[in-house]
Amino acid sequence: MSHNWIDAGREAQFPDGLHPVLLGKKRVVIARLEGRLYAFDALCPHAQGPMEKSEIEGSIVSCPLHAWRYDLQLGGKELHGYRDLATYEVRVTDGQVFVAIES
Amino acid sequence: MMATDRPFTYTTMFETVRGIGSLLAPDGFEYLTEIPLDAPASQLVIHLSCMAHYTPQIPHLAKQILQKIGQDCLIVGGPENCCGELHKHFKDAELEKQTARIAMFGFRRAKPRKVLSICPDCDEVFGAHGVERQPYQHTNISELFIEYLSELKARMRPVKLRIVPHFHTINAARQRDADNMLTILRAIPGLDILPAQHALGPGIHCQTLHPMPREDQARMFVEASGLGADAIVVPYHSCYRQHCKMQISHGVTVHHYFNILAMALGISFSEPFKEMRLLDSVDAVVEALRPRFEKLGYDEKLVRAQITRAIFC
Repeated sequence: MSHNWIDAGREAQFPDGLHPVLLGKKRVVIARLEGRLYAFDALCPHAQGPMEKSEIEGSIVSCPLHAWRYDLQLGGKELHGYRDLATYEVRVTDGQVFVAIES
Repeated sequence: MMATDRPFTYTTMFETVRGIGSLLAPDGFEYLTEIPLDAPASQLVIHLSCMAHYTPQIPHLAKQILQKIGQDCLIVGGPENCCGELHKHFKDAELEKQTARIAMFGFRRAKPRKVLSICPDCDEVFGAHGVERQPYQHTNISELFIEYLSELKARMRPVKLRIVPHFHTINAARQRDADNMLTILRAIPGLDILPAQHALGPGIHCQTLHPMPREDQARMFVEASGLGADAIVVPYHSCYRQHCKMQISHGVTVHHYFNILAMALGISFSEPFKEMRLLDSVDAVVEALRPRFEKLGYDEKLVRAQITRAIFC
């Protein structure tokens, strides 16, 4: 599958925490956790929970609806063995954040 | 499971439900977290509420009691079927509504005639989000036991206990639960129901965050002891959790009313929550559960935090 690198904004727009953004037609959350940027689906794969309201523990984000827990350092792996969260590659070039979204 | 010491969040609460629920589950206790889309129709669904995972003999007994009268059922639980009470607690009305609707619509997959609750909080939250518009009847399980009381009575044997019923009457729904529990208990031969004056609990149930005041709780047990009661019988899992520790100081046993009904029907059961609580020490509970949590690969520090939160709250 090919990807488009979509411009998500200036790096300074993404301080520590979770930031919902619309990239093309895709709702994504850009997260800065422990200094590192991640991007992932804005809806939990279990029941469409709002991932921008996730609780954060290190690199783990937990859906607020039922606490399915996804480790972003492990590519969105669900820690109970449930379906994984879709994550997207992030690149920062000259202070600009780009996210790789499937085309 | 991941270690966390955070006190009260969605994650810590739901992880405690999952963790303690699996550690205290009796042999043979099973429930679905998600009803398959192609599930066969099931007339009855028992909704296993979040905190009832700490006292799994209660839903387990509910199923066994129904089986005694030829009524099979599905038990559906896990945080995946949370009613939204936790989100209500955190004052997130949108998440509360979304969570309640996910659970209510999920039950439909079993095409049930009735969804049976054991938790008054779930009754209230589902009620606030239009459960009456669902194609099934949502009701406290006591209503079903009343519906089948003649069948249950036909199978009862005497239970020689002197009991004080504890109850809540803050609104019509809780009054009805109390009336139903009393009707069921009165149907059990051999039970001596004592005329206590101090057994009324506060609010809709004895909640962890709003428990029966200590002096009222002590008065209830002192009175029950003075009346010569063998047991205080409670309508809800929450009351059971709050009061069973009082056995240590007052010598009056605490039973959920399903326990008494199970005794009458010859159903044996264990009470893992109470067994752990009566150890009266987090360290002792950790050691008692160690074989099980080590087998499951759980982190000891996390288990200790969950035991403290769920069993010694």
